[in-house]
Amino acid sequence: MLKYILNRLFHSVIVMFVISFIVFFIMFKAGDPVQLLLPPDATQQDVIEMRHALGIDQSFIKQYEAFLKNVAKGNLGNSFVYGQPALDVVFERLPATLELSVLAMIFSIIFGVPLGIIASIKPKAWYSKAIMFLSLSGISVPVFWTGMVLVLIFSVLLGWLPSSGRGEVYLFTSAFTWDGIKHLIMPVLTLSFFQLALILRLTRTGMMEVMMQDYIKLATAKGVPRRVVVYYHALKNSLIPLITVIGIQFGQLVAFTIVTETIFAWPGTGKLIIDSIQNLDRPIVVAYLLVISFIFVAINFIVDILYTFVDPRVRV
Amino acid sequence: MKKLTVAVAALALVGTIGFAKTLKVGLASGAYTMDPQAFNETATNSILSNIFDTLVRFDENIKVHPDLAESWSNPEPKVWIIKLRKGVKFHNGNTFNADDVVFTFDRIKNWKKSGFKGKVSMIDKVEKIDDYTVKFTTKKAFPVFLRKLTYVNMLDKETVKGKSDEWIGLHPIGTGPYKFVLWRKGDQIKFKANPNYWAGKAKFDDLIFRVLSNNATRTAAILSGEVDLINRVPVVDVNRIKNNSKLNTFVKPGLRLIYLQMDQFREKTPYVKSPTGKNPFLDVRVRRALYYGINEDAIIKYIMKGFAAPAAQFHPDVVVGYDPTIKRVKYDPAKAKKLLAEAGYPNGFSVVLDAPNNRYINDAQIAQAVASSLAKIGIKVKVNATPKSSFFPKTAKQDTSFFLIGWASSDGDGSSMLDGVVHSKDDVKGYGRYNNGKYSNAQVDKLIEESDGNMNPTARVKQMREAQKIAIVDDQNIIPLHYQVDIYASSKKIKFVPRTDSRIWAYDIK
Amino acid sequence: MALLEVKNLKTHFFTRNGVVKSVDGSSFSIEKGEILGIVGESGAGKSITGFSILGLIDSPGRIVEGEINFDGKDLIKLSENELQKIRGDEISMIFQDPQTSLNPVITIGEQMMEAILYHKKGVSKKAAYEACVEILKTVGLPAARKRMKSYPHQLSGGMKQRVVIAMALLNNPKLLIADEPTTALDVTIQAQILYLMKKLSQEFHSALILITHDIAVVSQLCDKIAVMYAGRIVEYGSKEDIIFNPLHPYTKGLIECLPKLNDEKKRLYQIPGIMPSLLGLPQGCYFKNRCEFSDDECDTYPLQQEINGRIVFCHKVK
Repeated sequence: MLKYILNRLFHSVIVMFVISFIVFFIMFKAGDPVQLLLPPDATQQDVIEMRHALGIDQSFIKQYEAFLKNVAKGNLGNSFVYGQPALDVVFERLPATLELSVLAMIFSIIFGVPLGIIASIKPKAWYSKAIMFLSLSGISVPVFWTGMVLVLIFSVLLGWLPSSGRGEVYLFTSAFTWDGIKHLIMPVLTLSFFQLALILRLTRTGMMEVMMQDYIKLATAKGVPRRVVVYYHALKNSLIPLITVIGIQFGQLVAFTIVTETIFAWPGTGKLIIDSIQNLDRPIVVAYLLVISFIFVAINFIVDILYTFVDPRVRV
Repeated sequence: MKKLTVAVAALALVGTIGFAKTLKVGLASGAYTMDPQAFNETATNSILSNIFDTLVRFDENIKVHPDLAESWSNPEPKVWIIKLRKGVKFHNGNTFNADDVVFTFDRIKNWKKSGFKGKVSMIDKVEKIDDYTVKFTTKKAFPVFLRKLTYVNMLDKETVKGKSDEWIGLHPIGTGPYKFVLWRKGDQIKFKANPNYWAGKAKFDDLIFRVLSNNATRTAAILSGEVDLINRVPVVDVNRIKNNSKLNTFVKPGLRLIYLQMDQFREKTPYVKSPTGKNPFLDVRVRRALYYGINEDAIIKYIMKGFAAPAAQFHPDVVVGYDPTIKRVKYDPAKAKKLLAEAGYPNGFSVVLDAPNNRYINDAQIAQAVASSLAKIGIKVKVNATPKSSFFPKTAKQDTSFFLIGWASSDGDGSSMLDGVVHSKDDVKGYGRYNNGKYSNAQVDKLIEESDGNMNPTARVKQMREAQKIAIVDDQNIIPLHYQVDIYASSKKIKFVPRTDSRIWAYDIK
Repeated sequence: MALLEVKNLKTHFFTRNGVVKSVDGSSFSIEKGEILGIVGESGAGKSITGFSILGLIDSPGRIVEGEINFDGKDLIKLSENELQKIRGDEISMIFQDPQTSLNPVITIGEQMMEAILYHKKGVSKKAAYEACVEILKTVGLPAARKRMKSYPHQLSGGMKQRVVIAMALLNNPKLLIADEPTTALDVTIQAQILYLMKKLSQEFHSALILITHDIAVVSQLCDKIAVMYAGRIVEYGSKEDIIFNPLHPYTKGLIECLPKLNDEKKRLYQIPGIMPSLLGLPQGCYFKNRCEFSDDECDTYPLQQEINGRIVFCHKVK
């Protein structure tokens, strides 16, 4: 097991190294941020000095070298725009995004799995068809539409929930305060619609496939009660593909919540990365992508480990 | 009976204490730093203007007023003596005096990353005469001196000296009407009223700026009453807000001119397919044809939904150098075609119009509308709209023949555009940095240079107007389109006066 | 009274392409301790018969007619709850493919203990555990105690089948239904498993229904044999009668197919043609198109004839 972990760690480091190089190169080629940082009345001399101060007048190799030296010291340089350490800027925004992603995922699983099971037992029943129809809308309706409709109804018309922003934060998350929860409801719902539909459909398909297997018939023939056959014998098997998907989707949630964050003015990393790309703020883009790739790598790793617990055929 | 008396007394006490009044503002963009000398851009400047004071300040029509400078004199053309206000304290209790002023100007001059260098570049020396008197010596006679000072926020020497830039960017200590409480980047900035503000405590005890960059979100926030004021109201929502009985809307013309520039220096220009083989923009008749041939009224009506002011010159009316006699011509496609034919282009020509797509209001759509107008007079225009990160470097290299761009005379003085756009490009003297069409007229240059050093306001304006007349009326060096207009919405519970410089100065909100 | 009496069982599947009459009027019985073999080609309806007894028919199929009398009760009329009590306790089933009969993510031990714990309420987990170990030893599984903690994928095919058999026998069922129990196993293991089943059925006094396509197997183990063709029983009688004196042409053909030790023929006998699809059954006797004796008389379905205790459905037999 230890050997496996070390092996994975080693590979992860290589992956992140490659990513840092690619992103650094792309941002290097993307252009000169100084034009955007200085006002029109700056002189050519100012431009030259600013470029020197930011360290971007050097060759690519020299800049990458400097970057690596910084990495060894644990910092990823200062944001060109904010002037603060890039990692700090990213980490300041990350809890907000993680909070949304985690809550949305939990919500999707809590409702998606049971609904998927229900829709799988009697697929032709009216309620199964109703559930599948709803899930279809969950997958097809665009996120921003859902978000805006929710805001229109619950904030503007009814005035029950705040239309934007994040609530009071306690211990890094806003889920522990009532104000925080009020602000979380709509963004989490918006974000989880798609995930819920996806998990629901996957659970249903998985369950339907599993329920056709011989070992399910044998369990029934053994006299195991129906409830146990479905929720234990069958479900445990259909969890396997589900775990992979949930892992990948969670990574997606963290990396691409931009639309939801924009609509609800949620101070997460989604908006940060889009703005930073537009502003050619290379240190932030690199820092952000490194953090995200680390998260993806970690999720992958956790999923693989979880696998071995759920599926005894896969042991490390 | 005793119990009742006590209860009534308690209630009365509560009544007199009152509740803390909070002003909540929803902004289209937030600040990038709390260091007032770092990033010279509107949103940051607007937010920080509530914490910091300057020596002189603009009012809502960008007229100069005393602020931390009580009075000043200009004994020689290059010398300014400024008397500082006494008894002003920074938020941490430190006294404001001449040491702080000298320190503030030195920092901008010496800090490579400051975006405010342009505001102090003409200052040669800043000297302390006594605790409350400072002497400024400019390199040349500089009539715009005071206007530039409105951008220099006073820092507390004792607090800032020796601290890292990162620290300064997070810990603003000023003398202004509001004190910094907290900053959640991209989310909100909280302030508390400064009880010792030299001009008297602000009306609102708490001030919160919330960053609501998505248009629909910002509108929803004002409609639901979660904020009291928003800026940059999306044009499509104006009617909805107007119909809301609890809200007011405000429209204020701003400083930014949207205009077109053409390649006026090359025989062969890269993005034009011309039947004569030569660059058509070299001929003033072609340039004038563009001016007559663009239906700006339609652009304002359909693209800007009426929220723009048609432009005929470089400066809006509040800016020094404005010439009330210059009027925009009427849209006249027939005349435009005639001019083109005279110039030798009866069948027009093809050209690429470069424009940004994320910098100005509806920039890409305006370019599209310009293209359709010009198509009607025979000029085939292909619009190349790109993000600002590629647009600005491209135009800076003159890798363009025809482009749409904007200019805001942030000092409220016409010299900024004349120096930056109209004067010939001269990297040594520092002129024409944005003159990427490389228009050049020696006479105009002379007038501009003279007006830059002319300390007589009337004579100076005369020179600026003449330079403008030659450049735009005779030479048609640019095609002016319109000035952007700021739209605000506020709750009827507050009294808000919009400013030409697009800033939100909470002290003035009642 | 017979332990199990099946009367005119009809199990049909209502598919989009039509009604598939998988079992269309089967009748047979089995006494306590007896071994009945149900023989036929794939698709003849043998497995469906087995599933019907335990009520394991899934949609789009259902039992449309008939009686399945077990120990005085008609199983068809029982509720799902009542059936659940009988399954694994009084009637157990062994499936064909041991690779797929066991749940891959649950331990052998747990799967076995389930069979006990869901039927015998008062039994402690420890007692159930021990009972499982015991029976695993009985079926000849090496290192039985260790195997309780194993997962199915850690066992070979033969070992898995022993586990399935053990599981079926845990509660000492009155009737065991084995659906092609050795088809998926190596030939060398087949014989072992078959003799194990016979031995256990005698030891535990369970009746055994052995469902197989292999007539050689039933000829070794069974007391009675029922031959099925296209959903119906065509001949039904004692082993001696069926094997040594087959009357129905199909039965004769099946026996003819068996390779004999002293055979000099170079080619194996085959019954010409294939069993008709259950969606396109011919008018009259289903076997007529493959039968060397058929003629126009066979255009009506033959009636049941009883000849010396054996039942046969053929016009050409008198």
